[in-house]
Amino acid sequence: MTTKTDDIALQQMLHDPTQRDEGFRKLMRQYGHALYWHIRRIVVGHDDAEDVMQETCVRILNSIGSYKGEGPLMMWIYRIATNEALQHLRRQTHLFQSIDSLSDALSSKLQAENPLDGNEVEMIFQQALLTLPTQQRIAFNMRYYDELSYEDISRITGKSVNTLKTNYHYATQRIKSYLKEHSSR
Amino acid sequence: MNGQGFQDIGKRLPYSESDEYLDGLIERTTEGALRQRSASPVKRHWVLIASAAAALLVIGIGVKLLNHGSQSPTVTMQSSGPIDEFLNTLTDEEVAMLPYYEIEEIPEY
Repeated sequence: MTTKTDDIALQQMLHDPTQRDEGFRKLMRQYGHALYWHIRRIVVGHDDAEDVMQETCVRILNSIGSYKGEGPLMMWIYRIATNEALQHLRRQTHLFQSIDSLSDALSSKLQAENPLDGNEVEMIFQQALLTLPTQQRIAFNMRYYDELSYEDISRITGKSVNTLKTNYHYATQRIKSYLKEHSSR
Repeated sequence: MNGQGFQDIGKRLPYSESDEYLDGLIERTTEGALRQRSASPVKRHWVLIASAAAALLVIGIGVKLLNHGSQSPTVTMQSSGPIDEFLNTLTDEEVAMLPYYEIEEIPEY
């Protein structure tokens, strides 16, 4: 994660029309990997992640003017990426269907993209994550993989810190019980 | 609490994309976004113009078709000669019978 000074320097570049493109490149070099994995964990498929990554880049570039430095840059781009990924999932649903109902489809995608010599426990863990409601899964990922604070996740998702803590607790319980059930088979 | 109970699994993902691959992907998407942004004002401008022109064309054709459709196929006769006055006194059945009349049967005026 970057320091506040890096963020300020980046922000200045992004708001200066003569340096905007270079600032954007620097921003993507700095956060691109984390952003890709964040998106990939939501949409699961690589091709989907690539599409969402492209849409996120365009959205970030077009919205730079609206970023006023209220919070860390990373939280801002994570919020954009999360929204784009959710929109991508919504486009895969039918009318009146919730994105939570995509868990089977995402699970199949996970299996299809996983190399045959992949780690079985990792796979089961990912399958367990896909049984969580989407918003809970996203919050869990940010806490577990990105090690973001509840406050930061709250900034990204708009959910209260207490809700996130409760959700994380329920998510860990559910994953544990899934692992217990499927690892012993 | 963070990750409690999952330490033995770790944080690896069952995906195989390498860092080098991701560097390439990020560069592609970054440059793609920059190209799209720099091309978009002109492109959007032309798309708007083309859409507006297409909309006007469709509306024009629609209005023309509507006008054409609403025009009555009957022609209003605006003559008031003695023949017309005679024809006006006839019922539809009588008019239908006219071709069967002999010429002498038609009164002279």
